[in-house]
Amino acid sequence: MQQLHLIQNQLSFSDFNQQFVRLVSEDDSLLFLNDSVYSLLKNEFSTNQFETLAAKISICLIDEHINARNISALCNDFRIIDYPEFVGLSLKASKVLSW
Amino acid sequence: MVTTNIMIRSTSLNGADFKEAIDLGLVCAAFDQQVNLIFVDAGINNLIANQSASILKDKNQIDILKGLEFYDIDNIFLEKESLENSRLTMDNLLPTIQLVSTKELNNLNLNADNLVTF
Repeated sequence: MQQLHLIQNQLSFSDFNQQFVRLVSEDDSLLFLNDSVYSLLKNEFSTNQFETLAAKISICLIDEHINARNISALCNDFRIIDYPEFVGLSLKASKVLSW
Repeated sequence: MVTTNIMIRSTSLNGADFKEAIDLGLVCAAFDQQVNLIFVDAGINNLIANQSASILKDKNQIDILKGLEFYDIDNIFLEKESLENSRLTMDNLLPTIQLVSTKELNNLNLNADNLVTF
């Protein structure tokens, strides 16, 4: 069963890599919420290391959070979901971890 | 003339720091101080054009950036290195922003009478 990881705050790729990636399994989903979506605009999140990880797991963003910040054009590589889909992901996951 | 540099590292949709930074700038300008607003790190995300906080039922606080010149705040700086560390380009950002290098930013801060970070 997959886990759903909710990332709430902005983080650097080194924080992401050191503290977080080791606890993520291939079936897991990552949902970037609120200001954490800005993290994905950092160049350090465009490295091969991140792209390899992104190919294995599902990285999601909520449409309202990126549209309000007018960064949707920069988030094409990720799965964009709405609130009902967020609820669906939460129900489907065996555990929800908030970071 | 007293110069106050206000460095903004926080974003407008996360807490009150951004609004407090702008409010401080307006107060300083009202007392005839030279105000330099300097956006660094995550603060550069405030400068993305056409944001719509109303989608989140929030107030569009960044709109005030477009009218600061009417309050005699003409200097809005963006650290070049912060922009280079991001996938954003100047095309994504509000106009009338001046790019400064980290060295120029340090000189701005050294020459200021007051420096406040939000």
